[in-house]
Amino acid sequence: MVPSSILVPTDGSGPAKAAEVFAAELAGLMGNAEVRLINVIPMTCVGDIVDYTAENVVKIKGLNYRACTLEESEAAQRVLEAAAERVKSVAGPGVEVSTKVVEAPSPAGAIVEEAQSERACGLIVMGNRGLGGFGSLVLGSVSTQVLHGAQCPVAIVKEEA
Amino acid sequence: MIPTTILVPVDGSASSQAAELFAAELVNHGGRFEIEVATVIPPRTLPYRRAMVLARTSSEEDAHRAEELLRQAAGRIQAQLTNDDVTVVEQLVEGESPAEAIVQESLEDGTCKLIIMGSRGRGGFGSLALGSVSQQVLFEASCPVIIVKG
Repeated sequence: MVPSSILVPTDGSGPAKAAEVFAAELAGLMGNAEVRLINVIPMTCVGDIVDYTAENVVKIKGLNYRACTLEESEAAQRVLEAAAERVKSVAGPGVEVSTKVVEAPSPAGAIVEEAQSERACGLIVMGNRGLGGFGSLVLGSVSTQVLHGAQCPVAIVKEEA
Repeated sequence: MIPTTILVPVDGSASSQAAELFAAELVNHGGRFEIEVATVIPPRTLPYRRAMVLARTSSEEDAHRAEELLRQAAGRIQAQLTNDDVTVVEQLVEGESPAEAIVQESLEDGTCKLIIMGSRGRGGFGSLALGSVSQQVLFEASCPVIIVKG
């Protein structure tokens, strides 16, 4: 259970940035830790109203989803690069930082899956809410779902008021 | 340097013990820390008018039980510690709402940097992934909160 690998889902939102900094501080404290930044692009379900033979439509569990565009995946990568810079500046040289863009119908599902992959992480650090939804919610839907679904400890970080 | 305080609310449940273990493993990586194990009991005395409507108070026996619970939790953490710069303190907190009392305790002196707690305590439905106290603490706390499953 030693958290030598910390998974940080980020979307570049304020709380996500606070989570990046907290994860970096933890990793810096632990020394030879790894911070894995992931950005999940939610896929839009398009039902069967579109031509699913089209190139950018993929079928997952019987439903049609629109795959992300090149621009979207590049934007996601830029969010991760900025996040990696922030983490490196806080954590110092001993900490390894990796980035990964994931495309999935359910961001929370993808985060939990990533946490339980063969490169299992010891801790997930995430913001209390992301870019989507109501700004007034204290705990967003993705954070809530990850808290419920993840087997490993989950740290929830808020943006400083 | 003032050690950073990590607040670990405990109730003896499986997930609360997992949180104790996680806290110990975390601080063993190095650094100066104070781990504050805390447990909340209903107030021993209530103002007369409050006591009329809310009869739930703790007896001395309840307080002793809570102190014993704290001692055991602190002992479990001490047994795992390999970092000499970590001190463990026990804190019995009286409050009508456990979550509110925990959040208040985290704001005390302004030194608490982190709360580590179990996903669910002893009360309520065993199948819930996130208990009511953990959920309320997540909502109200201003510092980061790590939720550990048992």
